[in-house]
Amino acid sequence: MNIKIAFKRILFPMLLIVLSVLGNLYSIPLFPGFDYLFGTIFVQLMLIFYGFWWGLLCAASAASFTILLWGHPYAFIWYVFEAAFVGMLLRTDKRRLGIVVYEAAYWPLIGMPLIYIFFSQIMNAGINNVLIVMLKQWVNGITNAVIALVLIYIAPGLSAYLHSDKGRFYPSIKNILFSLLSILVIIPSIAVMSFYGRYQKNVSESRIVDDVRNLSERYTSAVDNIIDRYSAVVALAASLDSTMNLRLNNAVASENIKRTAPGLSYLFVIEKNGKLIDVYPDNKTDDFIPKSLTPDFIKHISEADKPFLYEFSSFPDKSSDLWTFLAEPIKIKKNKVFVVGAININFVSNLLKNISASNETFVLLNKDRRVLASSNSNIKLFEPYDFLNSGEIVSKDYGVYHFIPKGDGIVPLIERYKRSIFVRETAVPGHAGLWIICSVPFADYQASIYKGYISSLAIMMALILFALLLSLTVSRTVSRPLADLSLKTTDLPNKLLTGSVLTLPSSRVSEFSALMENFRIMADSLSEKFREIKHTNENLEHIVLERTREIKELNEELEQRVIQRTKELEYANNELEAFSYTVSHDLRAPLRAIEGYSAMVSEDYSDKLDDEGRRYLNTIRANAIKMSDLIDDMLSFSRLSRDDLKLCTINMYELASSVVKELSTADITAKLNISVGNMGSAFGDSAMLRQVWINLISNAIKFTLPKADGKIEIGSVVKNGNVVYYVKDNGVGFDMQYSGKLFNVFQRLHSQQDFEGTGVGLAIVKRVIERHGGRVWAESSLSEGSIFSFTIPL
Amino acid sequence: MVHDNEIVEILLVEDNPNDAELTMRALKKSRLANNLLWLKDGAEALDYIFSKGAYENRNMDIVPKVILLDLKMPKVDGIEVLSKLKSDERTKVIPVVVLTSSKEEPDIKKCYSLGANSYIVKPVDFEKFITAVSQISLYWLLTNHPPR
Repeated sequence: MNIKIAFKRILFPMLLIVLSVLGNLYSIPLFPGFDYLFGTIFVQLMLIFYGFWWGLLCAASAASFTILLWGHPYAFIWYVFEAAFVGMLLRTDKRRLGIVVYEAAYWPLIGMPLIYIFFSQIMNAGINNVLIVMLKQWVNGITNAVIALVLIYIAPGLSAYLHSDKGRFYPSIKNILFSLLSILVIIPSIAVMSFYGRYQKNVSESRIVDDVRNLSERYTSAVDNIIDRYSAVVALAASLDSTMNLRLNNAVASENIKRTAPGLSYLFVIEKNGKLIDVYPDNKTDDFIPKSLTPDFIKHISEADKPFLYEFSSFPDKSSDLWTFLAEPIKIKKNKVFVVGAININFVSNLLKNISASNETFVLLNKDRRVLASSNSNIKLFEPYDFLNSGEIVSKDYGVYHFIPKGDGIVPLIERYKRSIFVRETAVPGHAGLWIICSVPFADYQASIYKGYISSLAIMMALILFALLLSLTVSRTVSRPLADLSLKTTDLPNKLLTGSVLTLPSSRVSEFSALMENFRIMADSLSEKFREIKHTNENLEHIVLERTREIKELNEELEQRVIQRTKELEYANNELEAFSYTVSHDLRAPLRAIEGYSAMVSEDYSDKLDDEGRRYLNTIRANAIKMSDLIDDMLSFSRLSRDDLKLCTINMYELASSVVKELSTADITAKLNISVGNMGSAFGDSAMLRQVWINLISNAIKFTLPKADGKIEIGSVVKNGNVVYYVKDNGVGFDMQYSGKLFNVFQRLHSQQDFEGTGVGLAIVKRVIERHGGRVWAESSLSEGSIFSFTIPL
Repeated sequence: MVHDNEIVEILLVEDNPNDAELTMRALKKSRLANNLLWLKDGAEALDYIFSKGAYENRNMDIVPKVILLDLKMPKVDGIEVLSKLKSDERTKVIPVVVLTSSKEEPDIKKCYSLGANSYIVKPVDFEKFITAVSQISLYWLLTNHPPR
């Protein structure tokens, strides 16, 4: 399979699918929680180059990644709808350049309502979040469409290559300007927005971090305060107990404790073996204290040499009423005893709650990282606490974390952001093992941040729309005159020929205006030239017609004359034919009578005639026979002149040879040496050429016989590209001064006594050769021989 | 005028009396002129052969052994006589020797195509003439064996 076709049909679409997925994977965050996705750029390219189904496949592949990215399947739906919508519209758009417009239309018409339904109705997202998502998608969609368009324009080679089976793909100047202008406006605004978004995010985050830090410091100092205060009370109680040996439950002490440490529920003094020495308040009759004196606690206090905290739950399930004990070891009467203050942790919690706003949270952990106190009543006390286990944690400055919970079920990212908190974990200074984890919800800040996002996006959208409008206007301003010009100048020669008025568009751009003017001048001058040419042409046509008519007339006249002449010739020919016939029949009869009767006279009456009389009769008879021979030759000459040529290819060697054979009597063979040389073939009338050879060869024989050592040579040579046939003898020859008369009828150069003949033979030769378009001539010197030559050019 | 049912061996059709005389002389020399009838034109020849006109009483079954036919004759020429003879079932078997002055190729072709048995050009040379006539007559009268 052809690699180029494989690339075009399979590899390139695969590449586009991979790129679209990667484009979504390597997205850039426009704002926290709002990613700018590049995937649709490649979906658009796929739609343009490979049509609806490929585009849909690409969109589905790219969009499935958003399920992972955003944790909900709804984006998949609107992205696939987007590809389907744009793909359907592209099907009716031959030039496939309306993607920006289709994208711009898709989101308000279908995409945004879908987002509203999914976010607001199904996922219960706040209206601000929905608004941001809508705007972001719209901006993202249009921008990607513009980028796709620009990619096509800046890589026309690629698009031509991919479109090669559908014809070349030429963007118009309008499209190029439009895309360039829009990209010039849109890309920077996206960039500015992204940077501004980050800046905003950083500003708001540092604000949040500061808030969290302040909060945590407030909590730590509050915890510190509480512990210090109660430690002081317990210490005081201890000192009272030890130095003054006062009872804790005397009225003054009771009053003091109640006033300075309102949350202190119990105060008791125990020995290190757990024996209760004193108790406050004295009216306490419940069994709290005996129950709380667990061996573990006794062990703790017996080993302690300074105040410490100890947690105790009055219920085995530890669901409520957690107690913290503050113990201070003192010496009474040389014995080491302990003053223990029991504080209900709910009291501590309430104290801490009072210093924070309602939406701020805190958790107080002991050294085992168990919850001592919390602003959230759902958090179980005295349980190990780990807020990190159910969400995403982003570390910020000053030990502050941004915690984004996973949420139950399908929660869009921005909803998770809304539920996210900024957290700080702080050790309470001076109280080893105590930790305060406090947090502020992001939601408080989100609203104001998102308001910023919305206005940014709105500005962005306005910018984009403005850019689109501007680029459309500018590109039209530039391209309309050109488009007009190209439309007006289509089929220009015809328009000029038909003389239609060429109204060229005007333009306010100086170059175009000059171009139009130049075009107008050119068209005018062309038009003028065309008119001239047309005029000349028409004239020429007229002249040609006139000439044709004249020629036709002449032709007809000529034809008439030819017909006339032919008729005359035919008539003459018929006359001649009739004449020959008559001669053939009627002239011979009297001759025969003369001869016959003369013969009868000499047969029947020869005894009555003397010698002179018999000689006279013989003379009569001889002349009658000669007359008959003359008539025969005449008729033959006339016939050869009249008969049609029956042309065919003739082997001249065979023809001449057969003639020689026919003419050669024993006498001739004995006396003469006749040779026939090699000759090629000729094209002519076989019977007539045979007559030529007969006449020439018999002539040669006749004039060579008297000579001793007679020799006749027959053959052909090539002279000046013509084949010349010849009959050469060494006979008596003739005087060259009479050679001109040689071929005339009845012309003889020798006396009848010396050589017999009628003088028609060479005339016949000449006539036949001339009828073949050839030439015949003779060269000779007297008594040395002669050469008769002829050519047949046919 | 010959008798109606006299046996005729050679029928000479010839308008020229000189030629007729020369022919008859040639035949006499070969002693073949005994049963010869000389008719002077084609019309008379047709009347004789088909027993019409002056010859209507003649028995048509008696046919000459050979007809010597000239071509150029007044009224009905030799070609027409030949054509009528050879197109009739009764007479087509009679040998016809065309004896003429014409050496013209069309004449020769025409005669043979109509069914002439021989075509002889009368030579001007008397000796040759005698020879030719004698030979042809000897052939057709003595050598040739006609159907019964």
